[in-house]
Amino acid sequence: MQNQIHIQRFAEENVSEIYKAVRQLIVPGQSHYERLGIFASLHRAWGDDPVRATGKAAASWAAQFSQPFPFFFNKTDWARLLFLIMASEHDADFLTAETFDSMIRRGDHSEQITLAKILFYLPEAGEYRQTAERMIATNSSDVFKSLAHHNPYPMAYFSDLMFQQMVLKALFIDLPSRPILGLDQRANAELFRMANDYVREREIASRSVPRGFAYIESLQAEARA
Amino acid sequence: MKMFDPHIHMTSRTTDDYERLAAAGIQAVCEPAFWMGQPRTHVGTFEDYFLSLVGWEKFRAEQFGIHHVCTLAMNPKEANQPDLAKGVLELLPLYLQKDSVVAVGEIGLDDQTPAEQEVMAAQIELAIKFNLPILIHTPHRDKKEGTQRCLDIVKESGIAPEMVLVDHNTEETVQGVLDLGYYAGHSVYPHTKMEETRMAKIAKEFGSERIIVNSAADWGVSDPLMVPKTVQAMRDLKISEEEIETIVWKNPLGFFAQSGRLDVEKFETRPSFDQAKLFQDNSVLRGQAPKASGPAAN
Ligand SMILES: [Zn+2]
Repeated sequence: MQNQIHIQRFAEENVSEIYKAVRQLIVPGQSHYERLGIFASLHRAWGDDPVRATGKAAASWAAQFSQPFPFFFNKTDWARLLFLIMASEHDADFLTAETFDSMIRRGDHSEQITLAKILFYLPEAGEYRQTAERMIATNSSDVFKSLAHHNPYPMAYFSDLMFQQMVLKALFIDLPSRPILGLDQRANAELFRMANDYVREREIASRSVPRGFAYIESLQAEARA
Repeated sequence: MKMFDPHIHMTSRTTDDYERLAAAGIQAVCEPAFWMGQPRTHVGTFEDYFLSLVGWEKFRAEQFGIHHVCTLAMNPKEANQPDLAKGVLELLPLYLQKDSVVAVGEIGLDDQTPAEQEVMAAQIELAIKFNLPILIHTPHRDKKEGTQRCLDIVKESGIAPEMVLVDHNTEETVQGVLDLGYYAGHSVYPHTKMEETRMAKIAKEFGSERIIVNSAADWGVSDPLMVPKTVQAMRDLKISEEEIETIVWKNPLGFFAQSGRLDVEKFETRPSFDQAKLFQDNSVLRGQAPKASGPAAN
């Protein structure tokens, strides 16, 4: 819970208007679906403007999470993250693995993107691993990117196999691979083999080398050295 | 002239229809949730339908330069299955919160059973709670009695009259609906008594205040171009351009804008689109060259 306290303190000091408004939304006696409805409505309320942090706040964030401040969270992401944290403080049974799974299935595009982005910062984040790993199969490249890029969750919780699948899919849909956090630590002989095989297949078919491959190649070279 | 079809079931229509609508001047549509010709039998199929109305169908409309909003509700024809009704009513507080939902509807009565009346009242209560207007579908059989019963339920709910749109009116019902302070919608169908010429006469007689015209086009014999065709019929009757614009643009826009979820300024211009774009990696194209709305789209 230490992390969630830090998140709330950051919000109270840096985006107090969001913090205060979301606090008002936690009301006793709300049904489960009402809460999920409020989560959805926060996009209308807060929009897509980014939230910036002062140098001091960003440094304290980095010290707490061993992660850079998530500069790409917009106001909606912050409101939704705070809402889930506060709702689960208020009602310990609210945010379970089942709830998270249901939010992904019932969420629209914007909700799924938010959930992928904020996943790492939710209480008991490890509990949502199965749903998160299944999200790799999403047919939305925006949702996939939110999960794969600048996101500490896969590095922290994904199995080796699913982490590799995510890297391969990034190659496959031609996303860069450098923004995949922890790739330098998670890359192993198995991943290199799969990536090399894929690129060779493409070369035989006279197709271009996916742009994410250069970084993986550089990791291979390092590993050989 | 910009036109808004406030009641059209585009899920049941083809991309040809979208192209014809855009070419005829339709700039926005509202798609009410309705039944699919046979009753749904599982709560889960409602959920996927609702999700498609706020997701894929909205995307599809925008790919043809048309704004798309929707109304969500359980249809009276489906309200008579208690477990289904209970399940959908529990879910509505979630789905009514999605961004492009601008009203609760279509709600109303069909066989006029007690279960239908309860579900209708419960959905009006949700509309009041979420500050949404309602779209009322009046019954086809036992029309006079049934319409009265519908309007009684609306009145008892205490919802503000300007938040109510009563659909499928004729020259017999329109005055009563207007007197109650509601918006009066008219579904114009081809080859029926309610054709565009008859609709134009209603407009001539009752004016433009709170009068709304729609095609109610769906999977049955219907014509998605009924709003533009009615515009022509109104011009033929020498109704002023200003009044016509009120009926086919300002009224529906103003009515749904009461939800607070419809950006009136954004609707004044067509959505920029690029058919090369994908919705969750799915495209409206089948190998054709993508069309786009001009240099603004990217
Ligand atoms: Zn209809």
